[in-house]
Amino acid sequence: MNNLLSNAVLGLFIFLALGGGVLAVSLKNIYHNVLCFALSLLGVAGIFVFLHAEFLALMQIMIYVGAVVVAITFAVMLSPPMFAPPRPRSKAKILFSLAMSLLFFAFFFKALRMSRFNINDDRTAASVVDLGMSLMNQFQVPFVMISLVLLVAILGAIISAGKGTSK
Amino acid sequence: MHDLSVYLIVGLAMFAIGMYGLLERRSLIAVLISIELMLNAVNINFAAFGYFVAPDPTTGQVFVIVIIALAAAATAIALGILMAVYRRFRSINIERVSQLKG
Repeated sequence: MNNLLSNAVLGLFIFLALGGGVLAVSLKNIYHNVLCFALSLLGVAGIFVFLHAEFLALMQIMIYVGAVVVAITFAVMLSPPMFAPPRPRSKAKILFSLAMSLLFFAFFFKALRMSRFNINDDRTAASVVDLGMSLMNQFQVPFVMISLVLLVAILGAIISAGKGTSK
Repeated sequence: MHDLSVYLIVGLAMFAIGMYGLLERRSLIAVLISIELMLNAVNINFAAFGYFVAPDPTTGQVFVIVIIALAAAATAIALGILMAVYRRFRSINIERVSQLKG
């Protein structure tokens, strides 16, 4: 019973992640795209909980839904007005994109079916303390590099958005 | 259902969805959303492998943290570029932004 319930909840999160993703790329209104993208990110956060990565689920909601989606929402102001009728999409381009992504999916699905992974049987969930220890000891250099990259990225974003000729 | 292959297939499907959006959409914002979807698919894969396969369970999570930080940085830069492109071309349709096409 417990197992059935957890499977149902996992299925719900997977449905949220994939359904939100499909709507995020297929709807015509850009604002609806952003909202469905937020839904998909929440589904991914739920999947992280099932993978015993609660800290990642928290980070996913805080950074993605809290910061990235809000930033993208502001950028929606630059898109053409929503009451304007959407321009028709070319059928050839849709078919090409659909074929490419389906081909990609089929290829890697086949590769997944053929591969064998040696599953670790005595696996333990990593606590937040473990994660912090490993970030401070084993992965110290990436941790520092990431903060440096973030600093440079923010400076670059300010410079590229701030100045420039307006005509 | 709580199995490695389920998570891998979900990640693969999400990556394919993002790839479709990347190829098909013309708005720069939608392209950005598609790239973020693909990054999320990669995150699911890393978390799944880190939990099911890796001997040290924190390794996969550290990878995901790094990717999330890089994705946030990428979004900041992309929005800066988007502002600059809008100021220059008065549009964020990627088919009109073709000055560097040669």
